[in-house]
Amino acid sequence: MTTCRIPRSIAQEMRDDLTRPHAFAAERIGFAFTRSSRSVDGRSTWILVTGYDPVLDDEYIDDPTVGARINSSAIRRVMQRVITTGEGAFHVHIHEHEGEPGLSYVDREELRPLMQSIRNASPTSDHGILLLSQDSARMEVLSPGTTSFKCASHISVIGYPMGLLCHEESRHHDEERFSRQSFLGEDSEERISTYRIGIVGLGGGGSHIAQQLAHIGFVHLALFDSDCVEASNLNRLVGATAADARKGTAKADIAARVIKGINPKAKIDVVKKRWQDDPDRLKACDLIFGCVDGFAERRDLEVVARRYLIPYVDIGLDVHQSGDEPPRMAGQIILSMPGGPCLTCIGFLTETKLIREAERYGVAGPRPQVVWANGILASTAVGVGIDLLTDWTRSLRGPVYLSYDSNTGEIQPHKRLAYLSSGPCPHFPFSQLGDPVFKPL
Amino acid sequence: MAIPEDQIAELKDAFPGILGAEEAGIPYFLIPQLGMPNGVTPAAVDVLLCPMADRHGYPSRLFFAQQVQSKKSLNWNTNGVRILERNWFAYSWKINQPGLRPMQILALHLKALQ
Repeated sequence: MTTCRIPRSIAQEMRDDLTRPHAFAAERIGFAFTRSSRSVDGRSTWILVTGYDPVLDDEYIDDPTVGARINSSAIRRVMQRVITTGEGAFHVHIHEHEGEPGLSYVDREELRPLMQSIRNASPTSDHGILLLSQDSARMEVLSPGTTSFKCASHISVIGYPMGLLCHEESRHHDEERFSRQSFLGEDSEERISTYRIGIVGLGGGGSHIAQQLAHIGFVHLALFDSDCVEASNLNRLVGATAADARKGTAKADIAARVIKGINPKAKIDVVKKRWQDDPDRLKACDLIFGCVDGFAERRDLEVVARRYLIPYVDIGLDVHQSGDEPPRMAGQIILSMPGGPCLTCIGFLTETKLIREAERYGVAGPRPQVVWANGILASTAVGVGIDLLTDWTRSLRGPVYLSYDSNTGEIQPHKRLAYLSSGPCPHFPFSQLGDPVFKPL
Repeated sequence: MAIPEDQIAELKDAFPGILGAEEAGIPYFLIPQLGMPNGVTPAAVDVLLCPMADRHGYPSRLFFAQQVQSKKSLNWNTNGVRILERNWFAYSWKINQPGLRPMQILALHLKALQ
């Protein structure tokens, strides 16, 4: 299965360029540049778009027999870039209609050989053709060592909101089930049935999220937790029973049981180990909810999410007490969107916090947690995730950093949001997507 | 914070196969099959040097592709952390490093094994 992810900023740049009129060419052409990654079993490939280069006005050849023809200078530039950077290149153009686009006879006869020649210049990368329509896309991929083009099965746009340009047909339609949430949008059922959601940490927060996603109708869920339930978890872990605590049932199994009870059709990927020990199953997710302890753990999750263009929703709760004051319980919900401000940019992760945590050898210890606060944070995070995936409010267009004060019951945008600098995140540039690039010094 | 060219050249001279990469704004140096100090097994292992504050709260860090055995008992408190798409292991070892060059930082981390 080949999945292509395109940052919304680049998708917009492509569309804006390709729909501009040209003096004589009937359509415009550009090249998307990509980095890839393959799963250990070789069955999955992720193609991540790192940038876009338009063909310049004077690089078109006046040929009325085709929509557009470009000269050798444009092709040389593409070859130069793929040789220099190791990126893949995809010829991009647009067919201005709705629905799934298809390559024309000329496209097939001319573009495939063109991209084969670019592959000859850079044989270890994926190259191919990306054809857009107004609301869909088709990607043909020529992978290293292969001689024929294969279609990507999923193409998604990553940003506010998420876009689904191409996906395998979902077979999980159930109108009755969705009847009370049809306001989420005409295609919301399709989206909910298609997206694969990862939950890392199935304790107090993650167990609520798993339950809610099952109610909403998500079919593809990946559950990551290597822990087993203990008696001290019963104050908050949704679905856990006293018998589970006695037997030491895996938290991921409990979540899977809850989900299956609500939606027997759910396809659950239960990962009872650290996500780091099987990262391909995390990379396959379209959205990750992180319900982990500790700042370094959050950073590690964000790093992998950013590398594979996966939005990451973080929740956390803490209780502080000083002197004779009553305890203060507070938490956060953060949406870390690839390309946008990261947990460091927004000031949530700081060197001081990481140093303090390291001084305790990274052990978070038995932090106080309670079911109602976990539930509020989890529900809010699910709300953010659903808005991102369905765009039902049509208003989620920027970073989310909500702070929750459990003592007052208030949830509000964190004040740091007002001081965010504009521009791309300097910590996670798109040039570092996909498999890491080690360079000789 | 950029590492001065002469300090990078020093690493390159010492380890011709050394590679560099960046993740989350932090530079790393991969030294394939670095020879370990005497008495350490295995005798050579891939290491990843992070010569500045890493993302886990240490002022610098030396990660190993696997835990190595030494006479000295060390606190291997990082086991399978994922950096640059590979799982790494590290013992807790802090050095007072203001002004130290990456080569010196590497040497001080390795000294913990002796």
